[in-house]
Amino acid sequence: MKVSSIISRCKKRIAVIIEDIELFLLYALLTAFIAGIVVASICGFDTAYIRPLLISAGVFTVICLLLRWPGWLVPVAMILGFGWYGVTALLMDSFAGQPDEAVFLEGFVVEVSERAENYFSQLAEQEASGYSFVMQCEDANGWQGRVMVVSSPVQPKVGDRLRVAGIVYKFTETYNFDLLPNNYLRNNNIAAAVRPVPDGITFIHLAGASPYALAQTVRERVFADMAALPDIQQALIRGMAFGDTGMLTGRQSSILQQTGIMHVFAVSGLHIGYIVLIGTAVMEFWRPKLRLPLWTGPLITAGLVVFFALVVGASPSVRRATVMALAALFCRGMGVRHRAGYALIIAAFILLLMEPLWIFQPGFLLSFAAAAGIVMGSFYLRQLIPSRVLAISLAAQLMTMPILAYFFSTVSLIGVLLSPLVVVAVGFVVILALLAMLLSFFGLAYIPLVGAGLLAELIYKVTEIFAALPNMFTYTVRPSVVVMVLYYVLLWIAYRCLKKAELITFAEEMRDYYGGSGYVRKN
Amino acid sequence: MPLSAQARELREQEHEKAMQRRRSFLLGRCIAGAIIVLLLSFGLGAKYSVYINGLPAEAVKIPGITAVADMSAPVSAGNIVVGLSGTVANKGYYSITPEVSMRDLLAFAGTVRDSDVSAIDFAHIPQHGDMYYVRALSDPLDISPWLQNDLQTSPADSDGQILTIEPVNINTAGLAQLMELPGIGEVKAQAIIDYRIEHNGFSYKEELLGVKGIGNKIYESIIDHITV
Repeated sequence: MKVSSIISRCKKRIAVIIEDIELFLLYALLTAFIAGIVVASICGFDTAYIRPLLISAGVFTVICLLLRWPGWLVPVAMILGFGWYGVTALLMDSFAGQPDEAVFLEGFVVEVSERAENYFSQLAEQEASGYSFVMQCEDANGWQGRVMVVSSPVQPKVGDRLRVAGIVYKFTETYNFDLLPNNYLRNNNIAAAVRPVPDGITFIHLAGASPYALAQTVRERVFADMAALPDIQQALIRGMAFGDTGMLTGRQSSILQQTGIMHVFAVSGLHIGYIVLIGTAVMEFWRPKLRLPLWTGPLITAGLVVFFALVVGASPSVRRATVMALAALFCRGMGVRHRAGYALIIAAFILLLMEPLWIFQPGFLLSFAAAAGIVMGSFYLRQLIPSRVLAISLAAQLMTMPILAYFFSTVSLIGVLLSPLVVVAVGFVVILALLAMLLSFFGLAYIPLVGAGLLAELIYKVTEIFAALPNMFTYTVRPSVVVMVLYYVLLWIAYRCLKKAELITFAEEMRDYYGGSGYVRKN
Repeated sequence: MPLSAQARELREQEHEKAMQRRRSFLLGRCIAGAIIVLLLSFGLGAKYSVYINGLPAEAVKIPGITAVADMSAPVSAGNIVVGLSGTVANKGYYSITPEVSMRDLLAFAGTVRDSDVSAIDFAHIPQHGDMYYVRALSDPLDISPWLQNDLQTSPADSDGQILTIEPVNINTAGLAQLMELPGIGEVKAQAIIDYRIEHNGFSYKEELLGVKGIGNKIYESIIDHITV
């Protein structure tokens, strides 16, 4: 191949990239912001970087406006992402309380555990009794951030305003040696854990009525109606329908991880998808009859999605799936074309804007990797594998495998086959649980919950049988970041080779560049 | 077949229109992108100000200055404890190393808009037990001296008797002797000597007020220790 032709092809490629940046500037900026957060989390941050970062951001912005080329804003977005992560980490690390030191906090509750024993005791050195909750608060120095209060004698509600006097309690190690140590608090943007002193909790203001309070009331009613079921059925329904894995025993969790179906216990796109399906079906039935405009269907379905997210709680996978579902419903309501890949980028940006320290949280990474695999990878695999369900499952597994190996040191070999079966069956459990939420207002939730419990237990028994088979999973050495990057590069090369062999067609070749902006693609 | 002039002109007009559309498109993209970047910058600035406001005094990176509980707090050998109060951001008691000057201490204290540091002697060498008060611009002149030290005592002789300090003759004292006066550092002592040379000595103690850097406060603090 001649050098001149290589140069010519490179020039054409660069021209295409420049055009793409111009056309898809918003997504380029959001992706650069996310990349800045990744770089900051790897390289670390110091206050000395603030001034040079702001100066360079200003310089690039001025260059952009002078040269009138928007691509110059991409490095600005990356710089801002770098600073965003860095300042968040500094803010969290600047909590001045030392272990066994007294602190005085005032703030409002943002998250509660529901069990009388310490929900976070799984990660604590000792099994302390009492409730746990997370506060967004301010200390006596004016520091603002999140603190977890453990072993509380009272269980507040989300939104309650409290004053807490307590002793700083330091987590040192997890009791589960398979997990990376001591990252739980930081990954959840919690600066410290505090034990309240006797009479150290004062309620200043109680949370009033709100959609969140109503959602939590629904959740409490369903859990109360579930209390008569056997423990294993309760644990499985709580996990499959509400994402609450607190009642699962260690053995149950291990079986679910080894068979690669633990993901069904993280409320995510599967559950939100069923909500959208049901909401859309109901509205498409009633909307014409009530002569409602076209946009009311997606609007009401979006409301159901948000309410369901409030019921199950704001974990990374729930937030990701909710944002993507809302984006899709918005596009449908406005009558514009929806691209799932762009919705994924927007969801990642919004979540990292709120919680930049989630960048290395396993739940966040697994949720987005699986979604990226399904959105992008399944398109190619569906051209090779006749079964759509298998193709989607394989696409998700290929993207999440290195992450599972890194955080949990296990790789499931049966997950590809078992996941599709379990996902379909879990769908019925989710639908029955949704019915239970509706009937809880009439005191009839127990009826669908009995069916959900039996089905959930059957799913678990099948999983146990598969887990008992030889070589269904393997423990691995934790891979390094270099190995993980190499894996994803090889995956991309594999897709390119399949394209070269004309076995698959790339999605880019089917994109429409002429979006009505008056912009003409250069040849 | 070569293009006619009309066709050529038509093609140029179309090209010009396409270029104009592209320029408008790019300008619109620039403005939209700049707005997003501006919003993110404001957010980052707000986060950073929350971080700065929440920092405890020890976190401000001035070497040699550490917050302590009170004047009697135990400190490392060679360090002293001073206090900061008045119209400053960081009030309290601080352990400082011998290298820390008044200027470093006031930079650390963080003067605010209303602070008035004109009465402070920047040449003063901090002593153990010093309490520095930074007045506000709106305060009356005699609200409080900028320096107080309840811990200082006169040095004792070998028999343990408290020595009385002989008044310093400002017409004959050397630099070192002048520096022994409270509130007089090397700069002010040299200024006294310069004034003495220029004006052929002091006739009255009050002439010290004409020396650059010596104001009412310093004059009142040394008046009992000088003579002409």
